[in-house]
Amino acid sequence: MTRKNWLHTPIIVGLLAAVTYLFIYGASLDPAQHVGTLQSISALQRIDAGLGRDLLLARSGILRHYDSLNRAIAEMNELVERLQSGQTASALPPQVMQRIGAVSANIEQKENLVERFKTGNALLLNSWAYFIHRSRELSQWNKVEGESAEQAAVMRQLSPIMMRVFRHPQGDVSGAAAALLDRLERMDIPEYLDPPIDLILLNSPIESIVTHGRLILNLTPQWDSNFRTLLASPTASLIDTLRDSYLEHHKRIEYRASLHRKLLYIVSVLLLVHLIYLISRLQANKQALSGLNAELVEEIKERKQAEKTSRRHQSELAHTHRLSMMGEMASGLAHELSQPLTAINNYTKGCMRRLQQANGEQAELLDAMGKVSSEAHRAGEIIRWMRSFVQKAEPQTARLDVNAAIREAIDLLWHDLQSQGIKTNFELAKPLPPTLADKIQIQQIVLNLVRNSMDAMNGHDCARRDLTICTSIPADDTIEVSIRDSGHGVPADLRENIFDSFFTTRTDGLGLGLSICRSLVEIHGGQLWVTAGAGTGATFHFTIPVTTETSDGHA
Amino acid sequence: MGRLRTVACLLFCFAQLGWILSGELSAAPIVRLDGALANPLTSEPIYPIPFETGVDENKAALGGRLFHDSILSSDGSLSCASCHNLEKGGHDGLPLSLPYRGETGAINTLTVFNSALNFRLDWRGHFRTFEELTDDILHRTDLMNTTWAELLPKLRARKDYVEDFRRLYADGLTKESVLNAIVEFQRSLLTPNARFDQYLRGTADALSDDEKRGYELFKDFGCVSCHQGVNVGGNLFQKLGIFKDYFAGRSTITRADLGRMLDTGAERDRYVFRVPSLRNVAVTAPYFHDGSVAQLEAAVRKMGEIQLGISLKKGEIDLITKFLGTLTGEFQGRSLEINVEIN
Repeated sequence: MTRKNWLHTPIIVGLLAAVTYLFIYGASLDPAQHVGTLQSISALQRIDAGLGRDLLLARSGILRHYDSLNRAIAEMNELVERLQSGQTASALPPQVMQRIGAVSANIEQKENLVERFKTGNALLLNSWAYFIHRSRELSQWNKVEGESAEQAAVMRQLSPIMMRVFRHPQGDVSGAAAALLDRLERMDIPEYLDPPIDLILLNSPIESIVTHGRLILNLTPQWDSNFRTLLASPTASLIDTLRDSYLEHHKRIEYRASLHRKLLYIVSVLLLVHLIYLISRLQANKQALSGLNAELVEEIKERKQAEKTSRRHQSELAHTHRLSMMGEMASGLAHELSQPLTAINNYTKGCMRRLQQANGEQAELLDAMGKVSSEAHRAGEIIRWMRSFVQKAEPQTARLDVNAAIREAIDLLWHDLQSQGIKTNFELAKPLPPTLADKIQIQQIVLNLVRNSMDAMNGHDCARRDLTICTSIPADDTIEVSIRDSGHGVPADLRENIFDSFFTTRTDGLGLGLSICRSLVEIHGGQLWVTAGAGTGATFHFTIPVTTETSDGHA
Repeated sequence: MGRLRTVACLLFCFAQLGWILSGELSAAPIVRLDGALANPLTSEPIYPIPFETGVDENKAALGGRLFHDSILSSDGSLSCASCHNLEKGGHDGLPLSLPYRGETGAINTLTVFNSALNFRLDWRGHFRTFEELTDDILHRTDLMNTTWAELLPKLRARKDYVEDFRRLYADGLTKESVLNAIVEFQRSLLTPNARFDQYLRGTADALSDDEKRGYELFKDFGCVSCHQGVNVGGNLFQKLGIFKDYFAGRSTITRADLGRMLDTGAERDRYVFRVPSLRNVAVTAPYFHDGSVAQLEAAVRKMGEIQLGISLKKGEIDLITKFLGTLTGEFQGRSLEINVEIN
């Protein structure tokens, strides 16, 4: 309806593209990935806390094995690697990656410290165990004498000092312990005599105690300092910073996503508005169309009405025409009527005479009376036809024998034809298929055409006056009736005009006859035309389609 | 025309729907951490080897075929199993690995059994993962002496391998999948259900009195300071020779003797090794990185002297050795002891 129709497709495609773009960029971080990242970070914190706990246990000598330390380090490395490789979160920004790098470096540093701590711890635990056992055994064994007693005394002094070294490695007790160890080393100690098997350590040489003690004194400060460095390692705060930086990044992404979502909403609304606009236009168009449709229906109705009216006018015209024809045929018809009446009169007179003379044979009388009756019937038929011919009735279609209808019509003109000396020939095709047609109208056409022919031959001074009436079946569904005369013919240049209304060559005619005939033929669905005859005359043809069902035009 | 447009619209809608749904379905897996770790405060410093290895059995089986296939070496003379004989103790039983390709073996071959439980691999703990270790062994000129460029075409020429890798791995036969298969096999080589593990799981009579006594000595003398955890060692570094010089009386110190110092370059790491696991120790003679000790008793005595500063008596050594014998586990349902007896 508008010239801008082509614009709608690009607008809708553009809006759809915008919606898709905004939907993609309006997506939040994949929730699973986000949760995965947060879980990784909190797992790092949890594992680091566990590592701290296990280190404390190890430092106090009650951690039974180091598998948990190794596992913690391995898991932390794995988590950091996961964060770095982007398995949990896609495309982390440089500042977050930097934090992960810091955590990673810290863990690497921690790992080295843990290795050294474990190594030292194993040695120290062993040496302490040795000390504790040895002093316990000494205290349990009573057979200590002489220098052994002195050694036992030194051992009893040494044990608590070593405990203090364990608790405060950086303190000043190391000097005292070293002095005691030196003293112990200088002692010349004899072999213990047959100690019980339970007191196993007593069997080892005195150097072992000194070596273990010196190892403790040497290793403990470094080991303790490793431990303190490990505990002070800022892993927890580095992980906190990493988490904050990641959450900051997430917040930014979320903000951008929500912005895109708002835009998405606006564009969606625009799209919807545009669609509503299109739908409303569609509705308007639909209404306009239905209005037009109603007008068309009205017009069709009016046209049908007009057709009906015109058909009624035609039928009225045909009726009028039939009336005028009847007037023109009046003398001929009167003669036709008078023939049977005269015959009746003669027959009745003869009968009366025979009855008066009483010599009539009954058989003769009956024969005469039968003829009277048949003549009376003939007269009645003529009158009935005349009445129906002039009756003002709606056209009636019925099964019709066209040959019979033609013969009946020509019979009524018999007198006129005779009086004008016209020789009438019938060339009727037999059998003709019965067809649905209005008998009166078909006879009206035939009478009109025959009377035209009679007129044409009457005015023409010709030797022979021949009228030939033919019926034929040119096609399966068509009956053709031709009326050929030997009159003055129709000039070629007038052959079309003669069917127009008010066209006449006669001085006393109205010029309606052929026009009415053509319209009657056309009402029946046929055609009426004229051709030049064999000699001088003309031949009028008309066709009637063979129909067996009532056609809608005549119902 | 109109029908075509309707179909196009429907297709578009379905595509969108599919896209949205696919987003829901292909969510990234949530991180799951294996928190199941033995309680470090358990009363015993050693805990049992799990029965479940957690590996993909099909991949491990495929890796096992590669493990036993000399296709892995460039001249086809050597497979992993040549040195890591699973019919024995998962090692070669020699002091030093065989001098393949004319070079003298530098170091004793470690058992492949339970190596998955070590925190690092190799005598000096150079490798953190089986992948690194396997890749190194494939490339080493004194071992497999091959490259991926050489090995992959050889493997791809083998229909059985190509078929199995395509069945088990999305990418088929690649460097990564070959490594993974071999690694999965190595991870599967655990020897659970040692008698000592049965004892730890509560079967008190799984150990004889002597063996129990040996375990107590093992703890009392301080062996357990280093040899603890699931693998009875293999989880820390320690210097070889704390109280006495292990290398005393030797004229030469080899490169391999330096230990972890080779990796760190630090003087304090001289002679530092990864503490070896004592699992299956009774069937994995000879002992130490140089394979210099053939008898377990002698190894125990030496450890007492140089690491603990104690001269263990014969009776004590025997008890500890008896205890160590209870650490021999089962592989594929058979005790490794039987393997050694057969050989």
